[in-house]
Amino acid sequence: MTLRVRGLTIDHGAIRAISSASFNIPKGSITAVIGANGAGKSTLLRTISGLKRATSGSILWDELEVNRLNTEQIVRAGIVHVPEGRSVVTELTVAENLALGGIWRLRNNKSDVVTAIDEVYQLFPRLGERKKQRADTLSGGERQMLAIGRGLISRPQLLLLDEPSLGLAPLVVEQIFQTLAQLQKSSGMTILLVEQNAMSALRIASQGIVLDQGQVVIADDARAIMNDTALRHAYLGY
Amino acid sequence: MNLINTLIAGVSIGAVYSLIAFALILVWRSTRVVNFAQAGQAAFSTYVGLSIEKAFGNYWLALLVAIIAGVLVGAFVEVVIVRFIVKRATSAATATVAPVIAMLGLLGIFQGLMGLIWGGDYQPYPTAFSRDGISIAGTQIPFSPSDLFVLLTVVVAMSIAAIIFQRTSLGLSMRAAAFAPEVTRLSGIRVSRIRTLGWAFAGGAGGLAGVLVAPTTFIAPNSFDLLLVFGFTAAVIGGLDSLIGGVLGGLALGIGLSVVTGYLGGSYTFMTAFVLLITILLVRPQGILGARGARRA
Repeated sequence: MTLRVRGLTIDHGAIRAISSASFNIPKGSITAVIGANGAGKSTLLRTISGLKRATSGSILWDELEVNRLNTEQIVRAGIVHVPEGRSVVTELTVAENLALGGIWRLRNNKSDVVTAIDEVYQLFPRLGERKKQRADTLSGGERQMLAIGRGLISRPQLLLLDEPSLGLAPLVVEQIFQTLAQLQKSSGMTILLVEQNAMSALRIASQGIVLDQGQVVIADDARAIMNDTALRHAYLGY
Repeated sequence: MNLINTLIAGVSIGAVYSLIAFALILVWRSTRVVNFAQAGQAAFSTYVGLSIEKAFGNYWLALLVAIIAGVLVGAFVEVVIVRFIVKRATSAATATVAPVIAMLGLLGIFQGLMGLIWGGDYQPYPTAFSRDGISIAGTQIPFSPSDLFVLLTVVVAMSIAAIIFQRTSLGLSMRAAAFAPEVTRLSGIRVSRIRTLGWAFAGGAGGLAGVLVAPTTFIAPNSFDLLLVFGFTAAVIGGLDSLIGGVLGGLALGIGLSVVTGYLGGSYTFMTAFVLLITILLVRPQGILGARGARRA
């Protein structure tokens, strides 16, 4: 399934966060949305996952108008959002956080939920060693793995990842990004990755979208963006 | 009156405070609303139970119906009132204050309504078991078969709640929604339904508490107002967010107040509860038994 964004405008009260953005997210690839802090990246993801309503424009998931659905329905349609800040339920254990992502489909497909949980433990063995630990006892990297893992239990066709590298050591970031790339290859899911860490994101992405002050500056092949020195200087700061 | 007897005398009423604290905490955790209307909801459910008792003469049927009435009233309040007040709030400050004031107003409406339906007089409520103290080795202690029934019922109710919370998907959803509603919603869980269920469970606990305590307090439109204060004190002792804390807080409060009543006299009981409430809020707002540190709302 393809996500097509057309003329999307999103307001935060009086402030325009995204203005008339249009782009496609092709199926089965990683797209990196990059740009400075405050460019509107998180707002974009929060609108796609139904946490926020767009002011105008449309978000089409094949034929489905996502902007009319609520978050729970969007999850059921296969779009799963892992928000920024290693968002897990800190009061719950690792196993409980993962189980949470499968509750909505437990009645219809319990065996696949069990399989999905096993897969997450294989993908992130450190989570498997900490099943019974409360999430607030985990390191930052482990928490981010748990947040992503929770999203995977819902079996997304489109995974929205917001700043998975935020506040993590470079080595941990590298490890998480490699895991994401490998996961995308093996599962064929579509990943929309929002990052300030432009280089790491573009390296695993096939497409890049540069946002600046709510505007789509460019949507192009990831390598082309990496090689465009003027663009990098102007918008990515390196 | 020796100390042990005084302690024993506080156990069963403490168990009732635990139930009310449980109800208040459940609602607080699921919607961040301090439910002052809980006293009205509990009294209403108890009146429904009393009507059944009068019509059919069956204590157990009345108990069951009172719990069901509590569940329905709790769900009704959340779906019809609370949800919209929280949604319509224009700022964080009004979102915090508006529901509390609304719940006070709702308490008044409940009390007026009960006065219209059942009258304002105090009415007795029957017990299932004798209220005479049990004799052990020839000495009568201030603990009756009825007290034992109250205590056991609360223990069973809390055990069922603990199993639901710790062992079922519903309980997991409720805990997650209480602490992190956004992550819970993003996990595909219908958080608004979970909130309604929280209010429903709380209402049921209130109805049960009402039926258990009514033989002692009698039933009138405002006869549970003090119970609300005690329940709230117990919840604050426990730290407002912790169900186990609230249950232990209720028992501690019941026993503590029994000691005060026994040694200082009944005129000190109410004041002690209020002083305790204010002191804890001043000195240790996270609760004596509650979680470490303040939790983000």
